[in-house]
This record gives sequence, C-alpha cells and structure tokens, in this order.
Amino acid sequence: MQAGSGGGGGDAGDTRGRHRIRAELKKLEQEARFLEEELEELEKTDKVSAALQELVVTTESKADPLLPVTPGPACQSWDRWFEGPQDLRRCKCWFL
Amino acid sequence: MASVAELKDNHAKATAEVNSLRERLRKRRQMLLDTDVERYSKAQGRAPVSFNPTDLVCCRTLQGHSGKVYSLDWTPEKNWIVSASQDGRLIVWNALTSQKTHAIKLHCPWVMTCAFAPNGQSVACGGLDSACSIFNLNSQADRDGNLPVSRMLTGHKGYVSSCQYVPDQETHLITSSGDQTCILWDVTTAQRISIFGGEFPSGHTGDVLSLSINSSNTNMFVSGSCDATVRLWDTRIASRAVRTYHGHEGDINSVKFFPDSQRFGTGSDDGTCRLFDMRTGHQLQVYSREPDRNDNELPTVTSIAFSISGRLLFAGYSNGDCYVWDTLLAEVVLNLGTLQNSHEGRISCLGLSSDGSALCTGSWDKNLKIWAFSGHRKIV
Repeated sequence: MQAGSGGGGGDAGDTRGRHRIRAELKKLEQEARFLEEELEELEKTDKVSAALQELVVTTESKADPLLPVTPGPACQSWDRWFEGPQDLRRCKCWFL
Repeated sequence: MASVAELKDNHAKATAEVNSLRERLRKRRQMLLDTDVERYSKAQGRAPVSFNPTDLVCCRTLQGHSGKVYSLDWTPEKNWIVSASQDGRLIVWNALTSQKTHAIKLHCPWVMTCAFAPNGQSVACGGLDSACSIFNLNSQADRDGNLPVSRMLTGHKGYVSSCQYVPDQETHLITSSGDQTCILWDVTTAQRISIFGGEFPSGHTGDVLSLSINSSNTNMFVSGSCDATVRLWDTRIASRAVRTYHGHEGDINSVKFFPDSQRFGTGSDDGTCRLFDMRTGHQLQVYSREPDRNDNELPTVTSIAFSISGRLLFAGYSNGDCYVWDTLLAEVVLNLGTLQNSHEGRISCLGLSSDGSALCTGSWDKNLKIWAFSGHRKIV
C-alpha cells in the first residue's frame, strides 16, 4: 500500500485501512498495559506451596457423603437414595 | 497524520511487545510453581481415598429422552433435575422417585444447555438458536400440551453453550456463547445488563463453551473457551477480565468452581483436567490420564464436577469413561464407566445434588443415571 496521502480512488481504501489498523493498535496497547499490570502483581505473588496447606485442610475437614471415610456430622438424608421402594405407581415412564 | 505504513510498523512493534510480555509472564509464573497438590499431599502423608467395588452404585436410571442427553442441572433444594436432549426437549425429573414432572418441547430442537432457577420454579435453556429461553414450570400448557416460553433472551451472535442462574437471584442469569462473549441478563425484563468480552480487549478470542459462578461471591464467575484459556470476570466491571488462566492446550469444555470458592477445576479437549487458584492464577495440579496402550487418540474431557468437600473430581470423557479422581493425590480411584449398570455411551454432563449425596450423569445413550454411596461409611 502506498505511504502518505494518495490521490484519486485510493483514498477511501487507505482511510478504512488506517482506521482498522489504528483500532487494532489501540487494542494491543491496552493489552500490553494489562500484561504489565499482571507482571507487577505477579512480583508480589506467593509461590504455589503457600496456598496448598489451606487447600488440604479445608478439603479434609468437610463432611462428604460420597467418601468412604469422612468427617461428620453425617446426615440421615444422605441415604435417602436407598430407602424404601421407588414410587413406581406414579412413575409414568414413557418414551418421547 | 500517520501513514498506513507507519501505523503498520507501530502495529508490528506493539505485537512484539505483547508477545514479549506474555513470555515474561509465563517464565515468572513457572518460577513460582515450586510444587503441586499431588507432591505436596504425598509429602504430607495424606491417606488415599479407597473405594470398595460396590461403594458407589447406580441407584436410578432416568429413561425418557429419545436423543442424546447434552446437559443437566439440579435444583438447589428438593431432588429435581432438568435435562436437555438432542430430541429437542427438556425433561424435569424427581430424581428420588424417577418421576417425570414436565416434558417441554422446544421451538429450536438444537439445545446445548439447561439450568434450574434458584427457587426451582423456572428452567432456562439455550443452543443453536443463539437465544436463552425461560419456562415457568407453573404456567399452563397450551392446547398441544406444551409449556409456553415466558421469556426469550436474545442478543448473542452465536450459539448459547452454557447458562447458569446467579445463586439466590431468580432474576439474573449468565450465558456463554460461540460469539466469544458472556452476557449477564435481567430475566424479568429480558435485557442484557453486561457483556463480557467482544469489543473490549482481554475478552476471549474463541468460542466460550462453559461458565461457573462463584457461590461465595456471586459477583465473580469464570468462563472456559476454545482459546484454551479460562477468564475470571467481575460482573460489576465488564470492560476487562480480572485474570486469564493459561495452561490447557485445547478447548476448555467444562469449568467448575471448587467447593471452597477459592479455586476452580477445568476439563479440556487436551485430555486433562486442571485445578487453578483463582486469586493468584497459579495452576495447582494437572490430572492426566495414562496414555492408551494401543496409542489411540487421547479421550477428551467433556464435563467435570467436584464432590461437596472437593476431595473427589468426577470427569466424563469422550470414550465413555467417568473417572473419579482423588484431587489431593491426583490418582484415579474409580471409573464409573466400567461399573455395573453404567452408561453405554459418552457421558456428556455431570452434576452433584446440593447436599452432595448423589451424582447425576447424562449420556449420549439417552439416559441419566444417579450414583450414590451404598457402602459402609466411616465417620471420623
């Protein structure tokens, strides 16, 4: 593409191209600023190991009905899936 | 005025600067990865989860769809599930009794996602029509027995891949889309409140496939995309993503917050699940399958869910497996796909009941199944 202001029919194409490139440039400059901010924040961020103690403790301290070994309190309703017959009389099984 | 050539030159320089910054970020983050969850937990001597063969059983099979099941969601209370299928219908189930309470024929049969409203009175769904339809379960059916649409949320320029109501807010819902954006909606007025991504920088650069709202801080949600990243959004600040999480090497099909709301898990076309720390952006763990002995292509992860403590990660794969991962020791402790009475096809969606006592799986075999713990439970 010709540098500088062109003459004749080339002008409209140049203007559109200029607008488009300027918009993309703006986006890139904004993204660079975001990345610089993230880099600054990362300088103050702890290593992975710092967060893991909390993760392990909270995971192991919560009651979980799907685990064979779990802290309590247990809840009777956990076993409702195995209590009594399913209400088959009202179950209108049909295929669509 | 700068010429086009000068602008192009500046553009090239700006691109180089962005790439350089990305590389510096990647290296700096790598230096902070001094361990992962598996190595840390093993060093701490954590006991592994050990299941007997009959501990987790399929206790219900919900039959009724005549096409692949694509999506499911539980109510926050009660035992109801809504499912969406290739047959162009939503079905609402009482999971305890296996009874179908509603069958909703959709105007657009190409549905991809469904969700229950927090009060259990409405359901939402979306798909290739690029819209999200809301149905009030208490409304009167028309002459043909069909439930009318009570609201249509239109505005996306691509398919709606996922939808979720904001917990405890009947009136707000978030959608993710193939148009690379997420939208927060006011369901009452059917108006868009905010658009996340799209015109603004720091938005996704590929289709957005999944989203998860933080239950402890409902202003925050994460989205997973075909651009292989997860982005964290603050619904009060739509102009930029709070953070971008790198690591995956393929489309991110599923993203779910960890029960402590400080971390989230992901499942991807690259065959792995990962655990990320929301606040720091660190990748805490990769959950990778063993390579296939026959060197077949690695199955992709279609859907994930955490048990209520977070100790178990359920992952559905494209080959029909449903691995149960011990999240702390990064070991597969069970494969629901090989248990008795399991699905006969790919598991496309997963979800835990609100009290964590049951897992529901939805499959391309047209069924949904409910899994619960039937063995001897030791309370410590």
